[in-house]
Amino acid sequence: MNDIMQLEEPNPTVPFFKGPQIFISTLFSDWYLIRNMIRRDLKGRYSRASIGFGWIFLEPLLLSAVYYVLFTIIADSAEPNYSLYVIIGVIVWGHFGKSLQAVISCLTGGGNLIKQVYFPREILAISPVLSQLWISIISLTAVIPVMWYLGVMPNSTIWMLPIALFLTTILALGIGLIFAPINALSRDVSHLFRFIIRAGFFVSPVMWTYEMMIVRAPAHWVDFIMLNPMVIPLTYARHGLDGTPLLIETSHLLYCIGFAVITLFFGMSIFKRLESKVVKHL
Amino acid sequence: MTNAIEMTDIGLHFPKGRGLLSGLINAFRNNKSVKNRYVALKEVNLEVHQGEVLGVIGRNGSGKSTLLRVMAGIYHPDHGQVKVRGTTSLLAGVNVGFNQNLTGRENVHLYGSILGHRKEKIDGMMQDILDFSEIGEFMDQPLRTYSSGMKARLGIAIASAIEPEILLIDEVLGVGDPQFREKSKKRILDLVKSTGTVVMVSHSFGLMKEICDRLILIDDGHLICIGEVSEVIAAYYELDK
Repeated sequence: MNDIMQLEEPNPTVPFFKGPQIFISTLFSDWYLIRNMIRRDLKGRYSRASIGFGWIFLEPLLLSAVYYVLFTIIADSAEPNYSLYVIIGVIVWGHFGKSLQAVISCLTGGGNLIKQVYFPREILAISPVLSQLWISIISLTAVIPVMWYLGVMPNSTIWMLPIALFLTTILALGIGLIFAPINALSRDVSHLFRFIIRAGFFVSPVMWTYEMMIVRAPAHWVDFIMLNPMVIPLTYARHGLDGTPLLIETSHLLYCIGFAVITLFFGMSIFKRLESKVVKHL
Repeated sequence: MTNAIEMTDIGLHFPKGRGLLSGLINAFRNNKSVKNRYVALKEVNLEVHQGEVLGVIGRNGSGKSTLLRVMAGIYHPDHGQVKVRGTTSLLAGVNVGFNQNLTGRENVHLYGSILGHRKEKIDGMMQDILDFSEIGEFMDQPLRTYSSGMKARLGIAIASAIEPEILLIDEVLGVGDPQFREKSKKRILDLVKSTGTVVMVSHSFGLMKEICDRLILIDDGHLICIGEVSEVIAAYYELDK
């Protein structure tokens, strides 16, 4: 037979710092599988509803309408574009929350498949995030009627919008990858994160804006609030769409980017290190 | 004689319960405590020769499927080392990769790519899969409209369209009507003949006698004996006594 092949350990545990490299090579080598998984996600979610993909627009619109009414009654905001800010906030935060939850439960949800076939398990984490990204990009078109009604036009600052989505995506992926293997050991993790995502909705500028915070919060609180890495992506998305310039401290910006990148790299490493060990717990 | 698979002193245990802390400790290092776990495999030493058909027999829950999954790299052993020469492919539950809302054709692409095939390869297999599964015009209908027999036929058709160096079969025969069962048995036997090395788990001793070169008997995670087919089957019936 073939004598060139060596005896090798099947799918060995990888060294900690090789995780990111493996993720990136899988992304290219198994792109076709990832594409099929994304199609499965999307078709599974919308193919049996008669409005179908229409729900992608309807959900953020309806949700924002409720929040808008509720918060204008309570808070009585003087901000003329408040309704636009709310809908952008709801979509971007929704993108973060749904992506994060999908990654955290990727191993537990794919347990059946994992135990029957060996395939690169990072695909289970990457594909739901990419499906959610696709859904979020489509749902962002729901802001067009609101912008048209308010007479807001995007301009050269539109580049901030893709940056915002990108930062949100890698934040959700990174945090999710760290906790997905731990969630396989104990489902407490996904319950905890369901709470964190709900609480984060209020702690992050979804119903309020960065500018409101700068005006109202005591100065020594600002640094503390900016520790939340989602403040900048949400603010970038808003300024990208309404075209107003944004003044943000460089240190805050660097912190946010650093946080996202380090979390992603650490997440990829820890996920690859632990995933094969936790298969027994599924 | 060269070996296709070498297992030395394999031990594997499953956790009992869901301890977060103990699970974490376990994931980072091998702890020696025997509390809160049950042993699935213990001190298994096994060499599978290149080009042989090895059968695995044992009672339900004795560790046969776990052994195959260690060979396939799905479970990492907690103790000992496993080495394989070349690619392995596990034929187990036949429609785990399926989605109810995709059409038959889309499912072929999905499941095929999970098994590691490229797009061109899957397009090439499509006609063969259509012929073998006898699904006909349902191929472009969502899978939820299929009968369970149709799903099983589609599953076998995709799963058996592989060309691994080492084939691991976990009791996949016995789905569909008798005609189809006969057909899928023939297909898997063809696959066994065309593949170099095969390890198969089955409860069908008749089939084992037909195709296996050697058998191993596993009981309670221990490898009881390795040897000639008839000897090992005799040893199996000795277990109860």
